[in-house]
Amino acid sequence: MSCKGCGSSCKCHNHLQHVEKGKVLLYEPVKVKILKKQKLGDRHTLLRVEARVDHDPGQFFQVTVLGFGEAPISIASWSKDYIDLVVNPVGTVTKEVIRKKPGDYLLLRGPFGYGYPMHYFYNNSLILVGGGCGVAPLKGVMDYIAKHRQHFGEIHCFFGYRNPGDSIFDKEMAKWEKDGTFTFHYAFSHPPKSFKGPTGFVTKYIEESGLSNHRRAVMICGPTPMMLAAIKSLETLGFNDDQVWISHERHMKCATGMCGHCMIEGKYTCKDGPVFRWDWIKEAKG
Amino acid sequence: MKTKLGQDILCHRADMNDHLSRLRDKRAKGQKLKVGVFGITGCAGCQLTILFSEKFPALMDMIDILAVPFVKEQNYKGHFDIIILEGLVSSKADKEKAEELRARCDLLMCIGACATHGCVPAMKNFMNHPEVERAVYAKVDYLNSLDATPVSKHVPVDIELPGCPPDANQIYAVLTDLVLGRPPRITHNPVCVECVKREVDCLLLQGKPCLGPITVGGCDAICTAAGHECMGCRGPTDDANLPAMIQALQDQGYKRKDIENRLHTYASLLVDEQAKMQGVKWEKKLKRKKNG
Amino acid sequence: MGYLLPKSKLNTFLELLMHGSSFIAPVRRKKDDVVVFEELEGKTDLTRLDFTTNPQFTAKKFFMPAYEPLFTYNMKNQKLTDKKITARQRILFGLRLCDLNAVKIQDQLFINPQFTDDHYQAARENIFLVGWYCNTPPSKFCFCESMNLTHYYDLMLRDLPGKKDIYIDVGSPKGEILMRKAMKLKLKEHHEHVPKIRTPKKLKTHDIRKYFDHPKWQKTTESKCLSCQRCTTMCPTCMCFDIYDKTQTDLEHGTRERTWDSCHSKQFTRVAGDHYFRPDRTARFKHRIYHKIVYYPEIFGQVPMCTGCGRCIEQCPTQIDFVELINEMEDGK
Repeated sequence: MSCKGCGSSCKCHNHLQHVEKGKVLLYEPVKVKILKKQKLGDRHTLLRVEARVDHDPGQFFQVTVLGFGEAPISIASWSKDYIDLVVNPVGTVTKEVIRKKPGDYLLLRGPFGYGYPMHYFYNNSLILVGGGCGVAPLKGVMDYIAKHRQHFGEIHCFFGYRNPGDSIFDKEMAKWEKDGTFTFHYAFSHPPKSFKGPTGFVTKYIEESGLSNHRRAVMICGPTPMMLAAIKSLETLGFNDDQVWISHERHMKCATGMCGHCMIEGKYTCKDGPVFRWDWIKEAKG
Repeated sequence: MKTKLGQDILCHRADMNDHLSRLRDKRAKGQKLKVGVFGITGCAGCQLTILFSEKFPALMDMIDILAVPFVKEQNYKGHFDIIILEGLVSSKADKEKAEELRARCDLLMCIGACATHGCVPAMKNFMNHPEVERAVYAKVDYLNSLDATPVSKHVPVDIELPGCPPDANQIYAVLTDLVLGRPPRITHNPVCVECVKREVDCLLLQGKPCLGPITVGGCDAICTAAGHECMGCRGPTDDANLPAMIQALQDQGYKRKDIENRLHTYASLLVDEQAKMQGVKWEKKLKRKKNG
Repeated sequence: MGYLLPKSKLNTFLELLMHGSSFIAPVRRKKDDVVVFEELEGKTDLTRLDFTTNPQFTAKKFFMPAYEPLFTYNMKNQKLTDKKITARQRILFGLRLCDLNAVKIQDQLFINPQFTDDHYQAARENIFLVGWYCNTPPSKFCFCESMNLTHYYDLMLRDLPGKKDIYIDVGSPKGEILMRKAMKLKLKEHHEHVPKIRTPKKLKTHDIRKYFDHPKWQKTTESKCLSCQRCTTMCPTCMCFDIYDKTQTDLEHGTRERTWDSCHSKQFTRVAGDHYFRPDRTARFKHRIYHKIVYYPEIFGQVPMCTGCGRCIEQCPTQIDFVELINEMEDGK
């Protein structure tokens, strides 16, 4: 990572942002190199960029393609040397981002927001619930846990996809399943007819697991209806609202709590989120 | 084939992005994009907007305007990348022409209130066709008249730029976006926003029957800045509150009949549709006649 | 701390202030007889000054223009080209206390410990705020008395009623610097308390959370609100913006710009896949009011985001009066 203010070996701040004469230029992205590009399943693309910047799992970057705009993309890794971005090409910018090749440069600013407070979960068991591309930010959590495994109890992962082609990080997950780092439960809601595996929604498997809420925290990331359904089935298992952490999605422009697009009641998704404890925003209207 | 107006991105076909990336690949190879400007029933004013625009020559490095039947005799007969179409479907010949042009292009861009909303010609929908025809033409047997409808009622349209006439700067910005290979950015806000940004005193509050609050912007408030109230030529926003607008104008002392006439001037079809959804009943007898 | 300025010398005083920086003041526009903030071109323009009413359009454009370039770029080599932020020294004269407090709210929002908006900061640092005290509220829609306004200015001019002098209150070190420009006048030092402005219109309660599901919101917005976004665009504290890229026809150079946006627009909360978080007109209207009066004080302390200038009521095409609406709810009507 290079920074205008202090050169390439930047340690003076933990943000990928231009600094000129000691002033942070808020809206100007920083150039980073793409190390690796990989197709994940049928829909998603992984871009590994070279950036040494401190971040928490669950935070996000603003990715710029000049002439096309800027889009928030969450971090799917936890490493000191690189950052993985999982891109689902649905918008103007994301469709453009996946055209880049290894060796090209990407313009980023970030990381923004508050991620999952991993220290807070120490000495607890965890449940990770992911839906579709919502698994990507949880992959960052899993990377973190894999490196600090001794601090956590048993970890159950419930991942739901529309069909088997959508699933991401299959290789890594298979490896973790084999060495017992995590326990996986998959569900495919709209699989092809020939598919012989677990079908339906993850919520069903959460309820079936019968896990108790004793010393457990839950992290959910996915589409809003799926998150609400998952919270409901967790409630039937006896989980309290303050044990559940969710990650919200909103329209964002500045990512610094100024442009006002991402407000949920008085909270900014970009600055105070995207990860919220459920009891903080349960009552929030709009 | 209902088209949503006032969206951030006005693309209605799922494969729009494939077309756009193809356009870009083509440009990357150094090829120019083939563009045609055509017109069906209309006054040709929208085509003139393009011809008179000073900004267009700048685009000529990227595009080739191969066909403009309005001003050229020799026109390209093959397939186009982008076709800019003016005018609405008002006869069988128009319908066939629209279908033919749709088949001959990747991206169909409709410009002008006629092509997007029906504009003034759509008033014939509320009259008896044979009567209208006889009032205008001596011979009527060759006309094959249809209900006057926007192009999007007949063929899928990729981009719609309303306005009577459309804003040249907007056409130019959208073309730039298309050539660049990205979905165009088209404003969805009402005229009021641009009006305030230009610091124009509110004409509605001055007592003029301005339709700015419910009309799609993008015109840079050209009329209101010149002191003339907005006539609604760009059609209602997808979020227009018609009952409140009618009430506001009635409070200013305007007659219900005149308000209804004004609302029906440029976008009668869409306004009728929205009125139905919002439960507005027209007092004036605005009934669509059943014609051919 | 302050000075006394004889009324007859006001123009001389302003001329001295004008010297060397751009001077913005409320003037009556010739073409349509509207009072607006405009940059004065010379001393002769001082005759056009108008203090009879609060300018119709706010001064926020001098802090964040309606269309502001953030940086320019070159698409071919994917480089940012021009990132320089240029700001001229400006004196904003004739702001009322409500607009001055609006600046305070913008400062809180844009210059906070976590992030600082460099464009806003550059503009703000070069602006001197010179206020004009309202002896009587300039409009019947003013309700600043219920909005806990504070003294946030560099200088404040008060036309002392029944006296021959104007009292200049110095509110900050920047104001003291500005006063040095007028040293020649040898103004008499004087101290006086700048009183609170009294307005006939009042907001009866700030505690409106309990009224969130009140049917009056729905009834009023459905029958009156046109979603024209005039209220938010006119508001001195509404600072939401949209960012977009604008490429030139050569398909190489372009600008990333920002422009004012509004929470009253349906597309404001649109995310990919055509999902809207506030598709309902009433929800959007309530979001504006609740952000101003409830959410903002929760984040930044007990001052509401609304400063009571009354523009959103006065300039609403259908005259929706949210103050009246809340008062009616409070009265249980």
